[in-house]
Amino acid sequence: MNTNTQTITRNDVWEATISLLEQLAEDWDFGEEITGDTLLFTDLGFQSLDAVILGNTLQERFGRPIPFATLLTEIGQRSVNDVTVDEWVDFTTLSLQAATSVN
Amino acid sequence: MTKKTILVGLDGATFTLLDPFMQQGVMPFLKSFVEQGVRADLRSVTPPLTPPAWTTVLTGRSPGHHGIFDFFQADGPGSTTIRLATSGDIQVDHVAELVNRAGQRASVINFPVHFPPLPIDGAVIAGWMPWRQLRLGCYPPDLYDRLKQLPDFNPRELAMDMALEARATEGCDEDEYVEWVGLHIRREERWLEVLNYLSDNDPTDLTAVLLDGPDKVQHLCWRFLDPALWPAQPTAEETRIREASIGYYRRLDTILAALVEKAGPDATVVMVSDHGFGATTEVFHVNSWLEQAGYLAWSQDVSDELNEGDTLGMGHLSRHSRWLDWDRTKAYVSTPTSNGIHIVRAEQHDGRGVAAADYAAFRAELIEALLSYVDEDGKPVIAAVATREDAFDGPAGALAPDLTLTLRDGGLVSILPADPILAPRPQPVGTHRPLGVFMAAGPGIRQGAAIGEMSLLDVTPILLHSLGIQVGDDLEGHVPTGLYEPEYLANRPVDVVTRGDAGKVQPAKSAGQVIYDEEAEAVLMARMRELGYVE
Repeated sequence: MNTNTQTITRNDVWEATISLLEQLAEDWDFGEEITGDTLLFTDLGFQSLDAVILGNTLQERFGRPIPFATLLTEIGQRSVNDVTVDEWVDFTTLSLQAATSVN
Repeated sequence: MTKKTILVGLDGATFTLLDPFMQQGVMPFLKSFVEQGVRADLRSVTPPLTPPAWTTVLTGRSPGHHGIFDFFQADGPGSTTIRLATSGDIQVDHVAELVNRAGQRASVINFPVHFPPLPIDGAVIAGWMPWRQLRLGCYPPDLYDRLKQLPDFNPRELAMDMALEARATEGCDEDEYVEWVGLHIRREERWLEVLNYLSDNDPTDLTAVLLDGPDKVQHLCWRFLDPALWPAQPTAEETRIREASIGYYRRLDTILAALVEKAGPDATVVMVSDHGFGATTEVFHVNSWLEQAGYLAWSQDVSDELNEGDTLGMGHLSRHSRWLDWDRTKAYVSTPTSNGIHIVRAEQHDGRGVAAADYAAFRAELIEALLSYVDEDGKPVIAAVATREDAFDGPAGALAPDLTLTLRDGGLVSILPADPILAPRPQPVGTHRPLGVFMAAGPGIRQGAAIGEMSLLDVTPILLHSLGIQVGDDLEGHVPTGLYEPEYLANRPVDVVTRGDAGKVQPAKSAGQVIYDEEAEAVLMARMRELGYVE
């Protein structure tokens, strides 16, 4: 999917993220439903590198870089170092909508 | 004429260990392989680090051209934000793309900086992948589901579990060493299973695979492996760890034998390492040295985030830019993996840092200060300082560090704040050295010959020539004439084609597109705060 020239909605990002996470979760035999409240690190067992790979894959899907390093930096400042699927989707949506092409 | 060609990467392999293992009967297959082929020392890139070195092996280009300098990449020239280096950062053609363009197929298995996987005719499994997401590192997209059907398929052993990796690289108890070695034996066995499956079901003209166990085992267990460090009166525990570590090489030897047998007698097999190995005995806290010399200032965040005795994990790295006071910092090191110093350029940082007119003088002063730094006995600590032009000459060099250090013990710096600046390690550990290994055997290759020092840059030309593909003159290495029997080479000369310095036929994916500057990122985070997500 390359939506570089299209308007990207939160629903687009939600569906891409959930679809990806559900496909991956099958590989780890994670049987629970993934919802907006699911925590990437605590519930899904993510490590920093997992978040980086997930972010890069979404960048590829949408054809635009997203500054996930900034999000990870902010997560590191929290009292609880974690992020929900909803937060992740919101950050990705905002990033994609705010992005301006320099081409 | 196509000839099946196999590249076996042995991460960090060194003749310092392989020679005694071959002589002592630990690696009888490798001994016979070398006796039937050619061996040479293989010079790595600067710095001799896994991502830039393997990228040079697989592109035939130096880091200043291919654009990979570290595990991490600055977001842009002068950016203080770093991210993981990806395949999209590689600015030149990959050998697999050159092979495809010649109408042949390639498989590239377990090499770093291969995520996202290149969509080649053949197969890619990216290395350095977290095991939970190994599927995303596989191409074609159905490859992972096919691999899942293998009897012993286990992604947790095949790919990386960062929690385990961190324990090994940041230090663990001696009673965990044997388990660490065992994991790498199982990992190589899993890769052999994958290779056998691909060979039987999806054969390719070029197969390149990286076995990273030598590097991982040697980093942790070097003092148990290096004959020069082995004590005259070892303890029972030391002996147990040494025997387990040597057991890794014994098993590796049988895996190499299986790989070569599977390739068949007509195949050319090339085995290389990305760098050598040796001991590091001390830790140089480079950012603390820069602070003491007046080039760097820490921010309050560093004491808030770090506790005494902390080691540096992946989590800390993404936050390193918060540790520095950017109003008072002119030079810093952002990663513990490349020994690279970045100079803060005023034109890239709203006037903070070093003005363009002062850059050359500032850099020269910094080099002199670094080379003048001595220990308590008055001996220099830093053996050499390479400028960006020295180490990374080329169109991609703008993202590279301004200066790259070679420490006297060949080790890597620490970027954490510490006092004293130079501290001995409790025990020697393994670290990289510039000279790795080259071994090759196959049709036309001389038998039992040791030839002069080669370069990582030579590997791609050798692979292309072996496959009967023209070698572009943009490649920086060459096929050593001493590798082949003269008559064979006369009948099959190296066919060099003019390509010029074309770079990559398809521009790198990360080039252009969208840029977030600091202001845009600040706006983005403000929106997240408004939504209540960020504290």
